[in-house]
Amino acid sequence: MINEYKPNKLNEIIGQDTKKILDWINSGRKKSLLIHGPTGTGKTASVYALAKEFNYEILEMNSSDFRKKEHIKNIAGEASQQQSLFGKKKIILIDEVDGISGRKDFGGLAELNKVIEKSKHPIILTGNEIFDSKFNALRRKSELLEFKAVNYLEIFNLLKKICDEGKVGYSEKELKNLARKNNGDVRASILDLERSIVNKKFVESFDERDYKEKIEDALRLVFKSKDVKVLLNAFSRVDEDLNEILLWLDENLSEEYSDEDLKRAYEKLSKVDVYRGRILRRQYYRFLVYQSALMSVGVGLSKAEKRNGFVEYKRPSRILKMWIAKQRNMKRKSIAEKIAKKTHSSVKNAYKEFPILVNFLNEDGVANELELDDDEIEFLRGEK
Amino acid sequence: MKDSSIWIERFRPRDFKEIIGQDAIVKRIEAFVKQKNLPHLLLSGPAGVGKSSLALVAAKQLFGDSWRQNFLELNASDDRGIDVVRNTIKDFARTKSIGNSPFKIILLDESDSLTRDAQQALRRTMEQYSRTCRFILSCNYSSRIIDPIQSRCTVFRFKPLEKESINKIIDNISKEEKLKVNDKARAALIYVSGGDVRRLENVMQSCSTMSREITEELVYEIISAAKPKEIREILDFAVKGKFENARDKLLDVMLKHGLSGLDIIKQIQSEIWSLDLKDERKIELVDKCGEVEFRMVEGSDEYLQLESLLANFMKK
Repeated sequence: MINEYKPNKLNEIIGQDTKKILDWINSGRKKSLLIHGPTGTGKTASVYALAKEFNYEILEMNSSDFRKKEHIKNIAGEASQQQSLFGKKKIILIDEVDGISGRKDFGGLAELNKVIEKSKHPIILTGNEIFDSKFNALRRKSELLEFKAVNYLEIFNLLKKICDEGKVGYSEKELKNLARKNNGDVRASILDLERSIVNKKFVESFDERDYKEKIEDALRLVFKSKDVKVLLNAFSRVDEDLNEILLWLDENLSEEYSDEDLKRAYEKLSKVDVYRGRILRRQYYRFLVYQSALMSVGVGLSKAEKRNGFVEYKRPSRILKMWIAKQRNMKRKSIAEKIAKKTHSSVKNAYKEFPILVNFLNEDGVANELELDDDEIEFLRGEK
Repeated sequence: MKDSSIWIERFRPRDFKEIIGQDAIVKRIEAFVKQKNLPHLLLSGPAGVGKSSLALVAAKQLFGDSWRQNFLELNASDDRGIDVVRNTIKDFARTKSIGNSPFKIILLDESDSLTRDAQQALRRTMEQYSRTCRFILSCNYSSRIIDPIQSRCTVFRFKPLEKESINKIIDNISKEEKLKVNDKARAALIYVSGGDVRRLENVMQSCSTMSREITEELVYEIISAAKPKEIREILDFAVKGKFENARDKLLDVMLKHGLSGLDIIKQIQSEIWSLDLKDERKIELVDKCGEVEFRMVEGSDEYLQLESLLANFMKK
């Protein structure tokens, strides 16, 4: 049924400003469009509707595909250069960009950025959460279009239309309940409707969809419980990859544990990290089993006793801090290179002595002689 | 170079007379230059005592105006692989010199950081092209230079500069730059430079941007900003059971000074012995350091590993 009700024209998408997609494609402003918003609001559907309505050929790549650098290069990269077989216009659709994993699809994002630059065809990207820093470059390059959760009345009207067309009997009240239930997720609502219709009649509703567990709840289980059965499955329904969870554990561990508990738990995390390194180096993913067990059961059983009390968990801040520091150190390095070139020294030495040198690098004569650019001068101003 | 705005260049000696200290070595090399012949040289000694300066002076005296074309300076700590030897160095060495000089010079600074392979490759090049090219290698530790290279070079060992020489340099600079340096400040400068003239001049130039009168306090202020002393603080936090302060500080120090996990663990390990703990605990902790360092070398996340180490410092 959901396939039956796939929209064929852009204006059949409910609750979104789909004209903006047309605007973008006709304007040629930016080569890529990034449609973001919650699940089931019509991101992918509107791309297909656009294709049907205006006769585009779509080349799709979604997160079920591997998206390492080579894959993206091979598939999207080549497609972006070729003309279409029958002279049809082409759109490249990279679905669920936020599903590109930092580690397993190593280099994927960087390659994607390159593909966008070179592509001869328009590229549409979709994603739920695109405000992570790893998407900075992508966001800068693309035009952004937000899809919002759809108002339940609009969903209700759509459901009603579907029932009417299919000659299904219903009560408005029940249909409204159904429309309200899925938090603006149109796809889920149509699916629910399909499942509630038996013999052209609307029947009893059903259980709530089991939504993804929040990472905070999973952490709470691990930090509070000592029951192996509970612990073992603690992270299984969390929609984050293990490395992200590791950062959360690290950030919040000391809020929950102290003394010997803390020491034991950190020993576990340290081992987790060793496995993580081995997986990365050898590409031997079996080790994930151990990584995962140590993170859940290992950390959970590190406490001598069950713990009570409520702790508000913090989002890991380290990666961002590191990213900022890295940018800084790269600036430092580029300045050190310039110093080394002019003073018969090694880059290493100039980098090491930087905290002393920083005092006079910004003097006019010196900055000129080193040929520092505006960025670097600005940076030094902040360092001193 | 007199006109450079960077003092280590402005005050770099321009001829043999201006080189301060190392009298015996200077005399020998000046003699080589007079004969218009120079063997391969290995200049070994601590940083900032005049090794590169001497090489530069020698090249300028030998080649006169064409010194830039006949002189190649490379820093091995930045390009330390075999490719540099096989490409850059070889290409330069085998082409003829320009002007009326019979050979060219390659100055290979910090050559003790060349990999073994690169050194092996270098030894053939030195021999093959010795007619057209002479090498001046400088290094901190000659023991890290393989024997076959040492045997092809005339070795000169530079000593740390004497106090007298450093005083001369300070006098010279303060006269030129119209700075006032009192005795205490002078002692401080000598102390923080540790005999490294490059460092001395950098510190003096830093001070000069703040005041024409260099004081002891100013010198130490400049230096303390540059020296991470916080490792001790981190450990003190941890021992007192203030884990969160310790880890925040740790991240701060690593990021602010751009230190690697290995840099940090070296300092932690040497700091352990001075902590207020039972000796048995100390050796336990040192052992733990070893384990953590091993994990880091294996390629683990440095910060996480250090955190797990810090958790061990918490008292029982």
